[in-house]
Amino acid sequence: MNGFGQAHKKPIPILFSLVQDRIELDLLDTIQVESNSWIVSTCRFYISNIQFLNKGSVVWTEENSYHLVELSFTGRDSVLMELPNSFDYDELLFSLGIDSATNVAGVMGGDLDPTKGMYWTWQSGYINVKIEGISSACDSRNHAFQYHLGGYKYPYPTIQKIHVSTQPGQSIHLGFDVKSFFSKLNINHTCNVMSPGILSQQLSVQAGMSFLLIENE
Amino acid sequence: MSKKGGIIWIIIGFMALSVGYHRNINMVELHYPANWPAPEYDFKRNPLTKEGIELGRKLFYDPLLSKDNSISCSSCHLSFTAFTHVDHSLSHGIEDRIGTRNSPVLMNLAWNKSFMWDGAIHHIDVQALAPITHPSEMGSDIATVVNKLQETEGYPALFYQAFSDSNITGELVLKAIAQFQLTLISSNSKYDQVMRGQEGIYFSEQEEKGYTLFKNHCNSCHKEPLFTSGEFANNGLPVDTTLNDFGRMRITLQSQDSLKFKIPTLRNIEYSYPYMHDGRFKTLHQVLNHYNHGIMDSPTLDPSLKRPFKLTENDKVDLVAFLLTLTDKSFLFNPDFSYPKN
Repeated sequence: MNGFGQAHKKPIPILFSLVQDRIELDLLDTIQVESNSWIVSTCRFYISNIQFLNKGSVVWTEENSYHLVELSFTGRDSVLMELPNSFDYDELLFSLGIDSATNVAGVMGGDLDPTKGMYWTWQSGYINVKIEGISSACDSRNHAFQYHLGGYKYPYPTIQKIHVSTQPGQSIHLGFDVKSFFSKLNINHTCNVMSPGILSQQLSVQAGMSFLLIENE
Repeated sequence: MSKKGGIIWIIIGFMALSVGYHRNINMVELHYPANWPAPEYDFKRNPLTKEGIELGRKLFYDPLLSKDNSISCSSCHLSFTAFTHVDHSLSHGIEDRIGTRNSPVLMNLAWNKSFMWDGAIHHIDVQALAPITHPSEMGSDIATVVNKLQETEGYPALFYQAFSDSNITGELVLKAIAQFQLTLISSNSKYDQVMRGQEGIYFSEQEEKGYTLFKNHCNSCHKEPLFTSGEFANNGLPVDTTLNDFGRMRITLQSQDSLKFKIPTLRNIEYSYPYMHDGRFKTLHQVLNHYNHGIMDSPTLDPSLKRPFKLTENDKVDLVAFLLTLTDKSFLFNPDFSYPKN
């Protein structure tokens, strides 16, 4: 129970960074994808249901596991876990986005508070991933792109499971590779995805695949 | 668990109780007829308290929630007219902007399975986000509302009383508004009194005939006792090409939901004109004429409407007489629901 085993816990930060080609980006750096350039002005997403596993079995689950990772200011954010010292693990598992049960449970607080700007007002549900900026690939107003990815209902759920190989003693530094995300966008893609549906689902899969583990330097 | 651990939990429990008493919280239980189904709302997530309800009522009537401080929830949801906006087919918000749908009534919301004409909102706690943010309604956003409330003289203390926290959040604003709305129960119409067998209250001959007609034609969608099944249906309204509103399909993206809208309750229907999702019918007589000969067939038309009603003029009068028995004056004029005096 909390409070009685404090001496036996260790804090494990999960660090997130905006990257391209495994190198950390400053927000507003230009990202070149073939002949198009992209600049990210907003990047934030929810991660949830964080678990550590050992040999395929769950050894630790975070309670009330919902975190809004905000990469829009410094390009970096971290989430702190506190695992008991005695645990061995070889895998970190979390969801990119909010599970459907939480989506229908009503209004929540903390990182899930609707004032965070990650909850659709005209249709219920969380925005799992928000990426905004400008790109020469967009002939929208001001060349702006807005990807607000979410939706939990059949047939277009968007939550993604992310697996990371790791072990005690190793720092966990995850890069969100925006260049990889933009590279996978269809040449005739739309620059605005702001509601649940097939596009939101496709882009969510791409976002999930854009996470990579940055090795210790 | 060790004995020492057990004793510490008892002490912590005691301290928690005393903090509760110190705050003087008054739990409220909702009362509703015994033959109603259990509410859909999970009150454990947002227990009703006198303080929460009062705060919610104050917020409901406060135009501070809108961009220019001119529009409150009550602007489109007036208590005396079943919490809807009469005489307006489509409601207007800030700067006289006109919206795209008719304002629905607010009553018996704890039994709703979804909210809005297309069920876009699935939980009452998050419903207020839609009008607060819509550019033709209140034109604001929840973060701005929270900031404005925090800067007032009175609200932080009211939030403290209701939630033990003078630090206002989006979650607390929405939960307070929900608490007030959940108390809006209408269950004391003449119909209810007759059903309860209340002494001296009987349907007139006309009303009785109307009730029979109702059970024969309307009950599959407008199910008693809530007078709605809460489901979505296409009731044969031809699409208004100035609005091109296809209803539920926009939310589910499924073609079988085209032109389906949420079946509204018929309670207090006398007071909630004009009717339908776009307010196209001003009178109940027009509604009945639609069901008689105005239904447009389509692949998604509700099966119960495949054959038009064959109501005679007398039938229509009787049916309307019955519908008027669904008026509940104790709801419409309940001082606990109207503009707060303080």
